[in-house]
Amino acid sequence: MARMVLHAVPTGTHTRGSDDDYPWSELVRASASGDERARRVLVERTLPMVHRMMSRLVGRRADHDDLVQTVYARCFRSLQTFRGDAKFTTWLGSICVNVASTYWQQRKNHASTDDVPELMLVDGKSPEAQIAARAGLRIVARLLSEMTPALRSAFVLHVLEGHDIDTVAAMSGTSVGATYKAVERARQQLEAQAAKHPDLARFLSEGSVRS
Amino acid sequence: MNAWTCADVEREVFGHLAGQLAETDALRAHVHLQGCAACAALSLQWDQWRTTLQASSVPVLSPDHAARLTAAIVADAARADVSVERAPVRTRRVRAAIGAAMAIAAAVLIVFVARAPSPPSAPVLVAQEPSASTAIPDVLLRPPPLVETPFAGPALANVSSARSAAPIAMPPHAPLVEAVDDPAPPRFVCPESLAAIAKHGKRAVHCLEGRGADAYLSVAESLLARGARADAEVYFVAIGERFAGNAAADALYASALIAIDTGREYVARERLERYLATAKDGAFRADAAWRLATLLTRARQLQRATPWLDEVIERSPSSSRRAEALFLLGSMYDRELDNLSGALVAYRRAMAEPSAAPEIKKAAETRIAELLQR
Repeated sequence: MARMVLHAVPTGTHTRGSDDDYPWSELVRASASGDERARRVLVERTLPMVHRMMSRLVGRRADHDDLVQTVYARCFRSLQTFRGDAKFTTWLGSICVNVASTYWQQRKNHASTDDVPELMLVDGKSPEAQIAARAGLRIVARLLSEMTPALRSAFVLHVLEGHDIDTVAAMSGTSVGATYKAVERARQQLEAQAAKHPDLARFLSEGSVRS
Repeated sequence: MNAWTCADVEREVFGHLAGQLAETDALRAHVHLQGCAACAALSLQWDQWRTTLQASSVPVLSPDHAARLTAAIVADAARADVSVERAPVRTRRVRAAIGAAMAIAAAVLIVFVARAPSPPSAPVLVAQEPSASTAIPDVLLRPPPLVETPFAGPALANVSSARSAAPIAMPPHAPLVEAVDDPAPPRFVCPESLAAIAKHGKRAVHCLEGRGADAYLSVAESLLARGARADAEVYFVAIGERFAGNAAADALYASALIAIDTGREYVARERLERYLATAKDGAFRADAAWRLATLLTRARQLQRATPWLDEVIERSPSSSRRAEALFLLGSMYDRELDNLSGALVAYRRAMAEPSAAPEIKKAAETRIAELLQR
């Protein structure tokens, strides 16, 4: 049944409207049964979230797309185990956290020159603003890369991605109390770095990347 | 209504800023912030910081990039399906029996995979302790040697020989802020001779603009001979990017070998996948497929590894390598796909390979006996 509905979705022309037309439950069920079109729609619908989340969790790296593919490989492999107790995006987010966590553990064992992630997007008004933003972002990226996976994922998911604490706890597979503590510790670490680095403090306070 | 303390506000500052607090909590926060200058300042500061961080960490995902990525993901999933469907699946009854037996028997492949500890909430794989009888043969734990190389055997073979003698010296992390004030580098004058270009390493790669692939190759080999792997890698990558045909594919493969040797497995996987996608009849295809399969296995992407194991089994001229691939495939069927008959066939074929290593034969025999006992 799901296949029939989903075949009406033109490939590559996914719009917000089609999001509303095809409920998650149908997409998930059809994807789990191997419907390629459903999978495509599911990926198109969630790719911006996964791409952004992985960027924030591991930084922009040469192998970023590989990590995104890993997330979906795990997703499709385990899709039949998704029971619908949580939102699908929360479940997918937990896979992102898991893939990022594995990645960082592997990096720990294989330190290399690209351990500090590339700079994130900078969209400054002037060269001076760009320079300040770059310096600030490098510190943030470095700080995130030095945090434990638990702290990093809690901070990224709650502060940057804007998920509430309960959702962050579900995605991270930790308790709500532990998530609160992780966010607090990450916040304190960033405040300590800002106190040490004037460029970072200026960048964060003045929002020099904003146009 | 209990009034909120500063600790409450600190704990909930992001929830407050995101408007995620329940109505009563939001009111408590509001009341506290009205009367506490320190918390009001904290809230204001984090409102600014959060906005800046959110705005500055949104990656660019162009429509083209998204389309490419989507196509790759969907194709990957379809390929994994084919691997799963190829072998018959056991009945539920047998599966239940094997599920119970698996609680006792130890994972074989996981030994290979679980070098890094599993994250606490791993949704897909559960690491299990190996037993003595099912430990994976050591031959599969060793990465393939780097002697079978596209370019000048002795040159890239140095990569392998230098591996134990001279571990790569990683430069310290770049300074965080100081780099901003770095003066512009002095203008680099390109030398004419290839030897002189090689002397300057990766700084001089642009000096080969307009020259043929042979020039890049000469410099890369020269750098490899000196043990300058990182610099040589730049030239191999440049060949892969600027030229087409076998030379480009082989250079890509060489750069993948260097990435493997320097522990950058994700980069190596990406390059091996590109090599395998472009070099349909490449001389190193079977070797590349084996390396990719082992890397994917180590990265716990077991189903993605299956097609490459198949390719090794079909194309590798080495009987011992085929036996290793068959053993890994058997482990995959056994542990991941819950496919008893597929596992038995793979283990038996591994044993039947004339040049199978003794440890592979022994491990396959043990696994067959265990599976038959179920």
